[in-house]
Amino acid sequence: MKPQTLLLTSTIVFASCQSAIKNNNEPPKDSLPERTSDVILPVPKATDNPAVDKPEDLLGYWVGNFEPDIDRDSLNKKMVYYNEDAWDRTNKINVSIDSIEGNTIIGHSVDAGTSQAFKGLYNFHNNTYSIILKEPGTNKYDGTFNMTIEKNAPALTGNWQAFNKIDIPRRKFILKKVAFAYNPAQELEDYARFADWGKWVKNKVDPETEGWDKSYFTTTEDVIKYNASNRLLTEDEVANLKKGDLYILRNSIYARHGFSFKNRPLRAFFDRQEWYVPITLNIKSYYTVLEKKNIALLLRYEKTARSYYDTFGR
Amino acid sequence: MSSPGALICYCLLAIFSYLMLLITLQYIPVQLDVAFLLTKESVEQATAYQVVFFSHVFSSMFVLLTGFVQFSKYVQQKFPTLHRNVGKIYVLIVLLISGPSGFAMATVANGGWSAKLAFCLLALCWILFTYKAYASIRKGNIALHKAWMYRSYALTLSAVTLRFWKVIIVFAFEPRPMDVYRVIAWLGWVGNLLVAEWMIKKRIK
Repeated sequence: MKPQTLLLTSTIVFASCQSAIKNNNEPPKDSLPERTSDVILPVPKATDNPAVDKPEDLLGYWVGNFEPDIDRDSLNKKMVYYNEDAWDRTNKINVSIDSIEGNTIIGHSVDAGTSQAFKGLYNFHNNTYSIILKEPGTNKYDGTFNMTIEKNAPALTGNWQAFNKIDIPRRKFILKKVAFAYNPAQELEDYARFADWGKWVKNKVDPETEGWDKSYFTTTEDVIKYNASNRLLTEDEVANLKKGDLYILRNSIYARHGFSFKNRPLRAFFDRQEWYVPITLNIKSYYTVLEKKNIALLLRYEKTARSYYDTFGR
Repeated sequence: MSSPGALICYCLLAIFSYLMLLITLQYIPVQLDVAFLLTKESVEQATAYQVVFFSHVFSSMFVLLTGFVQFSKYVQQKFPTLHRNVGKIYVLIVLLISGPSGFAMATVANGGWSAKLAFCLLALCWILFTYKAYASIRKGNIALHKAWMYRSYALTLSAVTLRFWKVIIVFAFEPRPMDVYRVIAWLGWVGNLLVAEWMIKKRIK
């Protein structure tokens, strides 16, 4: 080998090595603790009655799956398939009825990391409350809720129709009244593993093939073994957790406080947790001292796991 | 650089030295919230730890680089003074800075008692082998000097092999991070020593 050739080859090899010691990818922005909005959403004064007897029993958080109500074919095109699992674009929605004056209902909905106010009317007829709620129309995704609940029945059923032509213009729902209370002891339930399908990457060894960035998949039991809200995690515990597990442990703190996730994979994961209720877009003010410590620790190890787990560096 | 084998060795050493240099550069200007130190919250704030850590990181780079000249027959024969001087630098840095600081860090290593033991043994052997190599050449015993230097430099290279094994193991098995660390704490240098022993058997009569 000529010296020049050697020099050239080594320069090329060296130049490609920067990424060999460290990955520089960043976590999804809305999963960071400081991202959340400053908006404080109203909290309805719900009655103790889980069903609706008197009109004021309508006050409260009405929570359930906000399912696409469109024909099979177009839904199939909008499904997200990942890692032997699928997300059918259902979001958990919280329709919060905040106040009732006369026949007028005022409230707001929380889902998919956003909140929108609504205003409407209810009628009581044939032993059934019929409710029509309109969003203001300022947002592309605004629409009309149309729902009914029989007197003393446990669930509101209905649908929602968008004003505009959007991806999923019609949704249906069955909502139940939920009395939200922050519970630090709430454990994650092991329904399905988290998968961040947001990243579609080239295979490192064989660039011809592509696949999900599996480094953010939770593949271990660890994620349900620990609770970052009711116990101070130790460095030793956290140091031996993989990226996806650290990520979910931290985000489950936000979920316990009712944070509504914009990030789709996180949303799909937490929406499946029965206890999870999206009530807020702002969690900054809610963390307990213990949670703050755990978040700092988890973020630190997430950074290490993200940058150095599979690289030569550190 | 006579044989193709030697050429390949030098190329590999160059590539990995460059990677080690990149790792070292992460800490310039002196930073406490990057890379390895992210996992050392319990001790990173202690001034003593910082002194030990940075002296290890910055001095060890030079130790690794000496390999480029010291094993060359050409340099050994044509420039014996250079060989002697670079050798003295190697011995001084290992015995006074890199070795002791490595041992001090090993006593508070991550990964529990097994990893601590591995890194402590590594540091002690490194110091011992390097001293033996120096002592034997002072007595003029070249064969013995060579053998101990093979062992000493094999342990110097553990900085590289440890990280190399990490990449391989993570790629193949994707274990939990600290489980990998416990494995490479041993694998990173014991393997090198075995190779060194094999080379000593084969090359030094």
